[in-house]
Amino acid sequence: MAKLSRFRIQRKDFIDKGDLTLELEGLVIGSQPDCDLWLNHPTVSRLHAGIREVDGHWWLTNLSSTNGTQVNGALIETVELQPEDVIRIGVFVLRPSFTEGAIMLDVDRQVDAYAASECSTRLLGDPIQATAQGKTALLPKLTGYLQQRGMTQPLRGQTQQLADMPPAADAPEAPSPPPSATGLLHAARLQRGMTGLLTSILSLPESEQKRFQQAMSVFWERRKAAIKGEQKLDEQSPLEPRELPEELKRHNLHLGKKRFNWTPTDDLIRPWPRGYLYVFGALTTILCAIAFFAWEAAYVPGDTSNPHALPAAKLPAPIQERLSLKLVANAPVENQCSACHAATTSMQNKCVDCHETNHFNTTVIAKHEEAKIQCVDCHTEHKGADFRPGLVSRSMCIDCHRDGPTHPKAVSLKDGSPLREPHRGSFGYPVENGVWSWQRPMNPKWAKLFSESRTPLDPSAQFHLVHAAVAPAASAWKCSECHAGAFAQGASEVKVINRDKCAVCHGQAYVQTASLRELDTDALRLGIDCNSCHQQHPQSQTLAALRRPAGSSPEPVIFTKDGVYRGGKDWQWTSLAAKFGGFTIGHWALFLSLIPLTGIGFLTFDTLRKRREQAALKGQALDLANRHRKFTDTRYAERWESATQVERARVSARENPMPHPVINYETCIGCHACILACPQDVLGFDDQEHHAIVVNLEQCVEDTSCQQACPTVPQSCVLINTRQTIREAPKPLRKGAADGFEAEGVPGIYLVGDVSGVPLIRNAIKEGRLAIERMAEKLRAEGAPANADYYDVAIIGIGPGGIAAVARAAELGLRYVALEQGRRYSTIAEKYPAGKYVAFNPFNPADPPLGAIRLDGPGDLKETMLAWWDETVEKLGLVINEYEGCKEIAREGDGFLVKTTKNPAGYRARKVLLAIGNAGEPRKLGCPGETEGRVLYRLQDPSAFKGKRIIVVGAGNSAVEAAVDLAGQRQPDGTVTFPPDAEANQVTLVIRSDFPKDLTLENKMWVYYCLDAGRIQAYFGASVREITGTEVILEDVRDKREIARLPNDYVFALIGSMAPKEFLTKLGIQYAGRDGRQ
Amino acid sequence: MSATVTATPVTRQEIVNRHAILEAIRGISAIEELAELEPNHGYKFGVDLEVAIYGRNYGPGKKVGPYIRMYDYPPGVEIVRQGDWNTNTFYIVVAGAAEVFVAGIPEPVAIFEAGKPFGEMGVLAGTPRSATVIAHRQRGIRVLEVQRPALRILRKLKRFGAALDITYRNNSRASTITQLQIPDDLRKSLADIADFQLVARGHVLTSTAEPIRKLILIRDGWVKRISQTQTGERTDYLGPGYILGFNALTVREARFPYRTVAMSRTEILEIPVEALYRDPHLLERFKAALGEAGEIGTPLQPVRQRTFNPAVKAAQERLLNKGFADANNLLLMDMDLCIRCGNCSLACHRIHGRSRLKRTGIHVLRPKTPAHTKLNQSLLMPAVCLHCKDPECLTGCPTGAIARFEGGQVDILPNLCIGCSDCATQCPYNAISLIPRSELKQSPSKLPTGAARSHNGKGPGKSKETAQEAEPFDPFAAFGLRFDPKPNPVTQDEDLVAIKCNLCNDTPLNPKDATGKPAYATHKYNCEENCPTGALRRVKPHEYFNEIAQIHGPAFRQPETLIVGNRFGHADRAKLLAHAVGIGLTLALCGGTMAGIVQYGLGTPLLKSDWFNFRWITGLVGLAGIIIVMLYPVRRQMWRRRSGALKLWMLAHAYAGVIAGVVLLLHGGTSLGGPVTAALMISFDLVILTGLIGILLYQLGPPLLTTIEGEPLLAEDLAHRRDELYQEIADLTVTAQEQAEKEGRGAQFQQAFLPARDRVMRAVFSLSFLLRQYIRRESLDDLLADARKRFANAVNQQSDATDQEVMRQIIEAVATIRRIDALLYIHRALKTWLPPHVISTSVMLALLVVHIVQVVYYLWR
Repeated sequence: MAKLSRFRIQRKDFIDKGDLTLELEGLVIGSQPDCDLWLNHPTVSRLHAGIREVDGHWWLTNLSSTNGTQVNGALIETVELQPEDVIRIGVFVLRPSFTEGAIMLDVDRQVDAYAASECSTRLLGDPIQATAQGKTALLPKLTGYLQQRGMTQPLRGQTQQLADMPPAADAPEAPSPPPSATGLLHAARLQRGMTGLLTSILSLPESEQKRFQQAMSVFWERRKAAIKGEQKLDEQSPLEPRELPEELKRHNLHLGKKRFNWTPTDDLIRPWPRGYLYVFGALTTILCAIAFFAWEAAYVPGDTSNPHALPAAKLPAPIQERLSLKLVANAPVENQCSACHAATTSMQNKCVDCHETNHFNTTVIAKHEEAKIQCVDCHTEHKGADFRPGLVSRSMCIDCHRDGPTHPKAVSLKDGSPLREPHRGSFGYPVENGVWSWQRPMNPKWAKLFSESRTPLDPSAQFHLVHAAVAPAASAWKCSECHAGAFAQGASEVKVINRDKCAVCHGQAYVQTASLRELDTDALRLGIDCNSCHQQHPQSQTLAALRRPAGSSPEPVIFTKDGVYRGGKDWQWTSLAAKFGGFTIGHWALFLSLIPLTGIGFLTFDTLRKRREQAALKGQALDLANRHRKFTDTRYAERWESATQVERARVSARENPMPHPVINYETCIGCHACILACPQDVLGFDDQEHHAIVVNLEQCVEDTSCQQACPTVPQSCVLINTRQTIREAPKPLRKGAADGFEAEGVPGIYLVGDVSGVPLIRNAIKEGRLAIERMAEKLRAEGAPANADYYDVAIIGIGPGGIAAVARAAELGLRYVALEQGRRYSTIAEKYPAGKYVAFNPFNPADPPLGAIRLDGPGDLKETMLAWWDETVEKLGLVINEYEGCKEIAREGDGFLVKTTKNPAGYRARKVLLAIGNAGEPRKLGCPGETEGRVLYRLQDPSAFKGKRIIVVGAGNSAVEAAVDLAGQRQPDGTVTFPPDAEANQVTLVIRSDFPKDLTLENKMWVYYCLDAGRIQAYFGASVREITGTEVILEDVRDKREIARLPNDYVFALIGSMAPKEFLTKLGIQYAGRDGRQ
Repeated sequence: MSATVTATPVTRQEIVNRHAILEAIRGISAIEELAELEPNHGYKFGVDLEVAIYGRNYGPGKKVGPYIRMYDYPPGVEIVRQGDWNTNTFYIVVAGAAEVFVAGIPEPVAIFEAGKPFGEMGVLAGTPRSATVIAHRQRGIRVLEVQRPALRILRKLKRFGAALDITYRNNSRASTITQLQIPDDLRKSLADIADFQLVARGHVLTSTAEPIRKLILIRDGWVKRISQTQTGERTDYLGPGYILGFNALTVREARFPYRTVAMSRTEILEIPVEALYRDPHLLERFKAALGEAGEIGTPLQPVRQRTFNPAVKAAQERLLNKGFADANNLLLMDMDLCIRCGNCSLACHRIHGRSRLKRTGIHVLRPKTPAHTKLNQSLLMPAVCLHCKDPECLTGCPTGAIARFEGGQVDILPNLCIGCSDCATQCPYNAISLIPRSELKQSPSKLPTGAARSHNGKGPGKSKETAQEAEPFDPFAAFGLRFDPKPNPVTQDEDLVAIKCNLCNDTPLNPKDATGKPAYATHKYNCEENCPTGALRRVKPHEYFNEIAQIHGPAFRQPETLIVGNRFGHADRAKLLAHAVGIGLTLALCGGTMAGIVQYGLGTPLLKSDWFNFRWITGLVGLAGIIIVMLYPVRRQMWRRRSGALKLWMLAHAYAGVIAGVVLLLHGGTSLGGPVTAALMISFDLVILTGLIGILLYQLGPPLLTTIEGEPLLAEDLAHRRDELYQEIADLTVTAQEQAEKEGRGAQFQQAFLPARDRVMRAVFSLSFLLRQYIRRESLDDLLADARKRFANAVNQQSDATDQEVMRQIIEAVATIRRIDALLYIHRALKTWLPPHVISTSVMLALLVVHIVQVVYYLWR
């Protein structure tokens, strides 16, 4: 036998005032009644903690995985208890002290209602920070609250702090617990949170304890609270939202399990709609198509040639003079295609229309006219800025004027070699009319050569040097190649000069060798072409006079749309640099500068907008404050007074930070219904004030079941500031306690107890008594009845409410008739499990005594309570008509006629008090053929059915039990003994979906035993469609398909019961939700 | 038993009789407690028993269990196969026997008789099956097949729990020792004396000056070591493969000179020093075998000096604490590269139906290399599964729907999932979310019947409904000019199913061939493939974080990794190569074109042709460039095929854009041409311009954001927080005013407080205050401190303490609002340049076609 330790427990909390000394191997603490130290509160786990003595040291072990145990504010797993330690288990505080061989535990309960219900750390921030900011007044409350909150979520950094704390230099190291104790306690941890009791583990053999260490516990540890809450995700940036966006709030996705439901982010929106690509492309295409018909000029590949697009003033002065032009015909042409390309007039005529002066003869030479060369053949339009008449003309001329009729137009020329004649003589030789005309090379490279030479050379020498030595293609030329004539005629006599010699460099069409690329460029630079000599459109017809005047620039003139470029080397670069991509540098700079300008403009605009918004802020805030005020009640507000101003300001002006229940302490009847309903242990019970309180605000998942469960009418005492729709349980409308719970709109009928939707035995008793008292006053006021055989009151239904009413009526001397369809208080006597503890809690000492029905003390066993009631019945000699069901209630004169099963004539009563509970009638199948008489709603004696074909509808405990009982004899080990086949019933279960979760394990074992043995056949997802003469037709619940036709003798419909709504509605009693809405 | 064998079924047969299962449980001593009756209380583990054998129905579609099924395997039939990842079940022999084979050994290495559980190690540790088990070749076998969640129930049983614990530790000890770099015979003797332990986070492994009784070899997890030196306290971190207390082998009575604390769930191997000393031969050999490894773990001298680089240390601590180091396959985002486009989320959304990637999560700063002394790399681990070494979600699942699969990836089987969201609650990284079952993108055969009926929002029925609602006609929406609507959040709470990252397995990205093997040699992740800048990568943490790799001890051969992951260094080689090629091409093509034009002129006919000149060359090159550029948006819409990483397409887009831009501008020469050509040129210029702006923003925006944002947040979150702060200012003002009126200071409040507040707000909501955030780039804390200092006057003017406090809070709120503004502008800028770019592109493309037609027409004419 293991050593026993002595535990002394002093209960200072309300629940149990008695002191207790226990001798146990270990003390088990939890909310389960069979724990050694029973702490009955939702914040305490069923098996919460254990204390055990090892060699004179007392060790406390946490066994609760959800709620945690704290010692001195820190969550612990296993710790040695020291004097002055404060253990916190849920709302309880345990203070251990030690005497020889015993531990004394002071048990007290602490609920800081204010801190728990109304603060949240999110609002208050870190306590340490709070102190730093001078919020000292708040700190004690806050710390208390945080400690409490630490049950589920430890303070951030706390564990880390503990781990990081270097051991104090002088303090001796804490002795590590003896190995046996650790092993033992770790073994205990293995079982934490389980239904098995600690004591059974504590008696493990020593050898096993040693091996039985912590590995598995660590493996299964729930790290979430420890790690997630503390470190991984909990760090919130001040820039992060504290609340969820409206969109998600609208969908109630902010708390509870729903917080894990998938939510979208803006990332899922494509950064640009695809329509941008299609619509704008299509739009452009459409515009282009329209332009094709309406504005042909748009399709001109380039600009029209520059002279036509230029105001004359832009032309260089020499050209203007020479051409005697004042205006280049910009305006008449207007860049319109039709100006030239007309369907009826030839293009030539179009030109001649304007250019009709002598200067602009259509052609200058008859041969050209013959060859049908038109203006546009030389003056090519649509070439844009780089149109160069020189280039054009050169290629044009050379097309014809060459050796051989290569050009189609040359065919019409008679001689076929037209150039010989005009170029005979001085062609290529720079002597004009006997005067040396060549001055210096145009090529700068060569010019530089000569200027740098030591000996100055005359132009003639330069010319010859260029042609004999410098020009690449001609460098190997000998004198004879040009001066090939009779030498006797003198050196100056050039005999026959092959024009090709000159044209090698000076004419593009004659470029033949590979190296001419450079020459061509030079030629371009020099601007030498046919036009250099042969000016077209002269005044004179004499070619000889047409030579370019000496000194006039041979450089090309480049026309651009908005200017004239003269000559220029590298003309392309210059122009490209000036207009890259068609835009000038200025344009590009403008474009680029728009970016920062737009940005800054946008920022400025936004800044201004912000300032305007300031004004609106105040108005909005006032609205909010007003809205919020509706939610506060006076007591709530009083508690707020103690908070610091700033925090109060911040919290109260806003809507509540998150959904959480708010309890109206005035109307709370302390029924625990909300506490039990809450799946998250948000609510606790304040035993001192006798009402529910919010203890874990953060845990609220907005489940609303507390509000649904709250029985107080007309308005629930617990409200959740939720956006969820709260299902309203239909309840009969009745007046308040001052009117004795008279039904709304049906004077004379009173509703008490469960039938009104308000549960609790204590409450029913209170209501029954109150109703009778008010009724008695009313009866007195109404005076004597017209008919003497009228009862004062008919009390229907003898449960807790009924018996209290009867007792009170007897005390007040009213004439009553008490009717009960079964045995008195049968619901409690039969349906409550034997030995059930019925809590009268909360007992408010301020309540007046309740007369004959005992209702004091914290509660007692059901049997004891029934014994008290029986005692009352005997003592007062109460008459109760048992087994007399009420069939009908009808108004008759001032009173009512109550017809019963035993008294069809009926009792006449001035008032009727209904305390019929809400068990109601069995639910019907609602299918055709149900009235055939084969349908039963209760199985009383299974032995009455032998060899029958039976269908049981339903999957609850009663249905399963009935089915199994009909199939065989239930055995305690989960098996069923079946009767011989001849006597066996053929049982079929018809189940809408599946067995419900509240089907007990025993029933499940039995029914599966039968199913496996084939003694019961089950149809899942099925319902009864029709009951015919001999058959029952089953259908699929979902698609309504017929699935079976079963020959059948009996149908048991065990599918629950309906509240007595129909009965009450027939009396004219209205049903409504709790806030009065129909 | 033998009777069933004679029928020689080739596959296993399920025994559905629950009572038989119950009887089988009663017959197995390890788990008989499960079916134990307590006098007057019914079954001791009633609910557990119910769930295990019968299953329990928690609502429609929410049936849990049964976890335990019974099967008959005919002789010789395989039960588990070595190397299989399907480790969601283990087995207990009921009758008959099992033969255990290990690859390479022809004879069975063991025979399991009735009552023996097997396969539970795989379930516990999440490792592949270590042996093949077949039904006994003569006797056959009847086994209980137990699913993972039953482990939670069964370990409550005293005997089974103890057995499981012992098995776990024995097996882990064996595998730890196998991993050690020591001779084989030494392994055996070490196995006799060593003990395997698993310690929880925060567990103190050694204390300063504590005598070294045991050497502690870290097998997995992380340990923080704190030692006192002359210069003060020194902390470092040790990973798997370190041995603590090694110098006890040289100095007999050595004491630990440091304190060590487990930073996570840590597996250790304890080797008692006494036992080593008892056998001097063993001691010597052990010392010799592990000498080098041991020496490093023990002394205080750092392995390398840079281990004590504070920046590296800070990074190590954060990486370890935040769980980065515990990942098998970690999704990382380099926020200096991240352009906040959200394409990763969208890619995930496209391939999985509902995005499993949210672009916020845990953020760390780290030095780029261990030599850096600054925390200059901003890394985000988004809220997406990191396939933990120790998955929390797995242990929580009541139906065993979450399991490890090939390569150790953790995935959810939708047909088992009941949508209870326990795994989501458990996951410390918020990586699991719940969606309606009908929206699962799965082949219908994999879904349970009844769930495949999908209510797709885009179905014809739905559009009819919307038509009936007769919404006002929106011409913009009709032409697709409105942004796509955001998908709706999941609001229902019935019939949900949990989803999480499955590394794009079984998606069109990683298809499988007919044999069930991956069709491609490399594994691709859609998010990574679709990151346009290469900011997002999936990495193996211990390879990517060299500061973590550094703290892997030398005792082990190599750190274990379960899962496929891309081997990433810090340099993105593909991108570097693409840049090199891009720059080369740009220079070559642009330079060549320019040289050609200089040489020949734009209009000079080339190659003896009449028309072929540099206009044409530039035009055609430009056209090719535009075609390449336009491939990018096409690629960007492709979520399903292997079309190459988007980052490379992005670079190709940018370079081709630059080339086309230069060449086509040269093509245009100095003339805008006729109206159509001019419009084309202008639209082209706009495309180029917006593109350049985009490049500029992408280069400047993210680094600017990372310096001032602190924690990377979504733009929508920032905007939301801004609204909250506005609200807060309003609330504060009003309540302070009410308070003042109540105290009779109403007039004073009006005169002193409100003007002061408005002055502050005017100053903060000014352009200069906004711009200074970009210019100074200070942290938010510094900004707030500065704001407090700057507006100290406004606070001091208030006579009442409450008003002062309110004013202080208002100042902080407005300054924060301005910081959010500053951040939001960058966020917006990173996105808003795109629509103009797209619009001008579409105009350009249309005009381009017109231009080409026009040119060809004129040529032909």
